Amino acid sequence: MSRGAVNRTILAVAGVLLLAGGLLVLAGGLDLYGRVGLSMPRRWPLLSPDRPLLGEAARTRWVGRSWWWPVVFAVPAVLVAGALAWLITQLRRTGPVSVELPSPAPATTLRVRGRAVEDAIETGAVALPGVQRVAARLDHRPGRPVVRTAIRLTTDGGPAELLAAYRAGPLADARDSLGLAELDSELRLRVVTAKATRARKRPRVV
Amino acid sequence: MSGAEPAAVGRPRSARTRPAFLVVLVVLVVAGVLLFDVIAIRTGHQAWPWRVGTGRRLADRHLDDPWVLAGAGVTLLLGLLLLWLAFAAGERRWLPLRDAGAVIDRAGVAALISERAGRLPDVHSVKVKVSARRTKVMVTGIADPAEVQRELRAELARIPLALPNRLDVRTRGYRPAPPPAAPPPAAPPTSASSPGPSQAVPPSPEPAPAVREPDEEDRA
Repeated sequence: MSRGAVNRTILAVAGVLLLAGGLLVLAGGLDLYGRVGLSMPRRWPLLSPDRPLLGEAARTRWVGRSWWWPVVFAVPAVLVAGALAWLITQLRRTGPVSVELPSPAPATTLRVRGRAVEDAIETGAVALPGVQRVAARLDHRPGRPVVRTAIRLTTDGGPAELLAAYRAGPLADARDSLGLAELDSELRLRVVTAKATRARKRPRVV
Repeated sequence: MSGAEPAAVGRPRSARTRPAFLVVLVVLVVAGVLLFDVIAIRTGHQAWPWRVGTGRRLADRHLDDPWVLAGAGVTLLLGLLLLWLAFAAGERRWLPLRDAGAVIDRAGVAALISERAGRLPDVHSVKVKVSARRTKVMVTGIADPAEVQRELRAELARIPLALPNRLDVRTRGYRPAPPPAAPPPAAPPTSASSPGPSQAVPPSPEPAPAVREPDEEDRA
């Protein structure tokens, strides 16, 4: 499960719980059951406006049961452990990325630093027509590297031409140099108008 | 930190790191305090007074109490917000391109369209609004609407967007504002009223194109 899917599941579960709680309290407090004429089961919680939110009876109903105290300990403990695990996976920084090259001698391993690959791609991409600024980053997907590049184009450049040139140029070079059959890539294109460029490049008068 | 795998074609999906971080933080704090309190009680200590007070308030207030109703309303809205965050794609700023994994920002599409429209003859001003499925262009000027539409459609077709994007061009004749009725009498050149230092500054030269190594700048 990818990180995005985990996050979205957390949000969905929390959202459903909050929504259901709010609905229950509102339905009881505004006496929607009585007005609509619904007859709810007798054990339904928060049934009428004169009930307390959490009465003495509801709070102590299960205290005598044998499973009560284990559950009262286990639920917050599991939540705390899960939250800490999530935070650790999010905050853990992956080390500098590198790519292993096919090695000529059996006993040696040959690695290229990620920064070197990023530099090569940036240098190649900045020379393409219409490109104003490039930032490349090498990341790891499970099992293989992925290049994430952000390119800022001026309006003189065409996105289609740039995409073709980028794939055939810097990206293909990096893939071939690394000896890979495939090199995954993500590309974020931004376009700035000539007007915005002029405004930014004007020297500051102090 | 976009951990989500991009689909081959389709909107990029946000990883939703920040809202999930907030939810996890709240869960951690609440569950941690409850756990601490339960352990304190079972080991023979006093319950935290704040929790005792909260328990008593929960038992005292009835469901038709305005505070309870307001709290329930806020909870409901918060739940809807979290569900929306869970299911909406996010990343509204980016439009997918036909190449897998490539996206272009909406403002960039607008910049390309408005640049092309601004270069057409007889176009006075252009306003472009780009959304995921539709691009609306408002052109003022005496340009031929059919010609403008043809040009802008060609420009939009040059951008290899993955999803079809409709182009709506509206043209409006440009009426120049009426000239001011009576221009104020020209002040004498050496006006004593505002001998500000700004007048002494020579007019700044035209912004020269910055001559720099592209590499240097582009790494910034």
